[in-house]
Amino acid sequence: MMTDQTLISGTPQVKRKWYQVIDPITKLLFILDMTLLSFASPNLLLQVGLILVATLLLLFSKLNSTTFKALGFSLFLIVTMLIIQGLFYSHNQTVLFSVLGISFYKEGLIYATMLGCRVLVIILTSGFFMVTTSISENAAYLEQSGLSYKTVYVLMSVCYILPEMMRNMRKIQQAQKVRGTNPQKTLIQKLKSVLPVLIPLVIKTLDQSMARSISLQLRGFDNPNRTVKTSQQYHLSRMLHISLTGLAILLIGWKIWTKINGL
Amino acid sequence: MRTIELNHLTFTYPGRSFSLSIENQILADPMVAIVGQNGAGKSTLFKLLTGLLTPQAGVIKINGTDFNNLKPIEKLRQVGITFQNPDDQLFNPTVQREVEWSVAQVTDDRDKIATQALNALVRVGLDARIAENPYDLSLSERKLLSVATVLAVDPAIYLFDEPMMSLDWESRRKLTAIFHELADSGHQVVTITHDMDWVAAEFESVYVMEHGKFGFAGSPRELFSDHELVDRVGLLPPRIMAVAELLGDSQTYLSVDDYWQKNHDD
Amino acid sequence: MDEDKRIVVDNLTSRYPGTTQPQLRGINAEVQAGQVVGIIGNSHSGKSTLCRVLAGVISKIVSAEVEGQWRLFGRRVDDWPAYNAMTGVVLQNPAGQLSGLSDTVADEIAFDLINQGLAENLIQKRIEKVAAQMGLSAQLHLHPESLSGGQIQRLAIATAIATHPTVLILDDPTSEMDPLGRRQFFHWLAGVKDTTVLIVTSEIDDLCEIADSVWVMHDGQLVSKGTPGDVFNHLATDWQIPAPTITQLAQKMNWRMADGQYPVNAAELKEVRYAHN
Repeated sequence: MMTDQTLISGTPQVKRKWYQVIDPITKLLFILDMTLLSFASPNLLLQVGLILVATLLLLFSKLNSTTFKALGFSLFLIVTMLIIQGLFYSHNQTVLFSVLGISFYKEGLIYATMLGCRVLVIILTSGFFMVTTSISENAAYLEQSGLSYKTVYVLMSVCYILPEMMRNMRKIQQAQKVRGTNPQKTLIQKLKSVLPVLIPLVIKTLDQSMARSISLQLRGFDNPNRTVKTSQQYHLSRMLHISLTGLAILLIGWKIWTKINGL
Repeated sequence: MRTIELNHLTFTYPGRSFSLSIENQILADPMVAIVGQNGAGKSTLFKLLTGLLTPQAGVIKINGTDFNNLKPIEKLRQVGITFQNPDDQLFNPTVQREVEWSVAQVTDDRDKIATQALNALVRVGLDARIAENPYDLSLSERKLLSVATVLAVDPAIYLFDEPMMSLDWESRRKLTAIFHELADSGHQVVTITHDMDWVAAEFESVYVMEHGKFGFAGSPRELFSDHELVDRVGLLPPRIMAVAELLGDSQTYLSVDDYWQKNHDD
Repeated sequence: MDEDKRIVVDNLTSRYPGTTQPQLRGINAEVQAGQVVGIIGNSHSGKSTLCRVLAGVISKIVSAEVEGQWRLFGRRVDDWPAYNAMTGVVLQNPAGQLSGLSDTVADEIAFDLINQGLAENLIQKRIEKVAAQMGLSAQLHLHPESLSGGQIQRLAIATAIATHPTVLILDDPTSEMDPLGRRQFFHWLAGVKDTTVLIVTSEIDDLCEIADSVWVMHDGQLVSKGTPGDVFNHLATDWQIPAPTITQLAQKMNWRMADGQYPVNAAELKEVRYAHN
């Protein structure tokens, strides 16, 4: 994985991709606005439009296998939801179609479709945030916005523990594969092989975090005289923050207004 | 006699330019060292020999039988491996359970599991530490523990990836002694190593890997006499040769004793 | 102020909580500015603990009982930010020392420099310099986790030397390097001036070429210290430490120097052979 921009120099050395000139806060506000929009109206056409926008953003940034896996998993969830709601939604009245004598209801299916669309909007926009910002960019940005590096590090190390644990788990599974006879094909087999090593796994991961924390302190990470880095050059971040926040307030306000007036 | 036979073996990682290709090679000596630069294919060969990777073509015969046709339990009885980094091999909460886990893969007999595990720990000198967490051991001790997990299963062929790396002197001596015991008791020991002093002093058979192929097979003396080859594959000759070089002597020496044999006047 | 030019360790004893035996027992030693000290010993000899105490890990970061005193050029560990800024440290398991917050090798080296508050143009220059010294120039744009074990060790050393520390503390910094990488490292170390270096290593042949003095640790005690020549001519068998190849050869061939000692490095070997003939 290469990045076009190094932490230490603020001026771009290589031409940055469009999504790298958008700051992390703008991206987070964008997730918020898209979610609010999606919840603002039960219009299916609007939902499809939002999904399209989010999908296009993802397509034009960078796609990796993790994104596809996450998408696959959420689609699986949505299909399950469609089936359950189509069968058992409490307001079900109109039979839409029957398969093998089992009736699927229109109300439940519409309800589940709406919910599924909203989940997709959130997942797609969050996915866009995840694939376009690295841990180090977030850390640098948070520090620039005034947090102490110590706080930033604590926040970031929380993001760090899960991937570290997964890495350790993969190593253990590889070791079990070489040292053992169980091919661990089914989920039950996998679980059986994982359960007894959970405690050593947690201890190992904590050990690594401890070692990392010691070395960061040795490397002087909480020194108050840290170099103030030249800010990353982001485009229009102030304008984007104000307008996206404005939009969020408008959407919330509108939602409250319609609720109060019982519309 | 124990043998590893490689016939028309090829392996390529998807999306990478590296490829391993071995026409015909038989490793038959009791103690075999495999040397070569990083990326020459030594670790890939080991992964093929343990079944972690499957070759795209060709056959690996262990003591005459096709390795990839063996049942998992038979594979364990034929080949055991010790990784370069012991932390990639250990995952149990205590030293004792670490070794017992290995034996439990090949037998259900509780007594057998306990005795074989304990015997292996005695051999590496960790029997007093059985209740400890493997992560509380020193790096040298963790490495010896990872060796014990293989000793306890007692496979016909032992593979070691950089066994001497990051070991203290006490453990080096201990492990070298174990190597010779294994070889003398009819096992085969195949090791990847960068430690040429150790190769020169302890091994009779060296194979050089270069760009996914075997480039040389012979004795350490033959290898270190071929200066062009040694240079090309980035090996450092045994230190005794560098010392002799200081004295203007560019002959091939394998150890201090070897130098003494050839140079003392009596 | 004589003490400002030395590292002084005075009757240092240290014990981790929950252990009965102390890991360090009554260590007394002194190092002059600019010297290279090699620390050798087997597992559990206390060499890593000594590094951790001198680096300030014990007891500034990890708690342990510590008795006795030590000062780096007059500075005590209680004066933590200044003490810490004086030292560059590489501990065992270099992979655990990566910050995890860097996308590139260059960022990783920059981390220490940013922490020290250096100006940005200086940071860039230092990165290029130490990367060249550690043979990582071609890897600067790579992700730290894509490096090999030996390269990660070189990166850890690069981050430690980037800040130009007064004292460099290295705990087995070449354990995962291949022989060529190790040779390059010791070649670099031989050229280091103006930095006091404490290095734990098992590469005694390389050590004898560059060290001003050698400390032997055994069971938590400093059982021998002196020039490489003095130490390796008087090894006790129960320390289980071999002599350098040159010394072993000289013992076998009975090549002694004028003072009766066996040579331990190339310069001494040449001296003895020319005197001999």
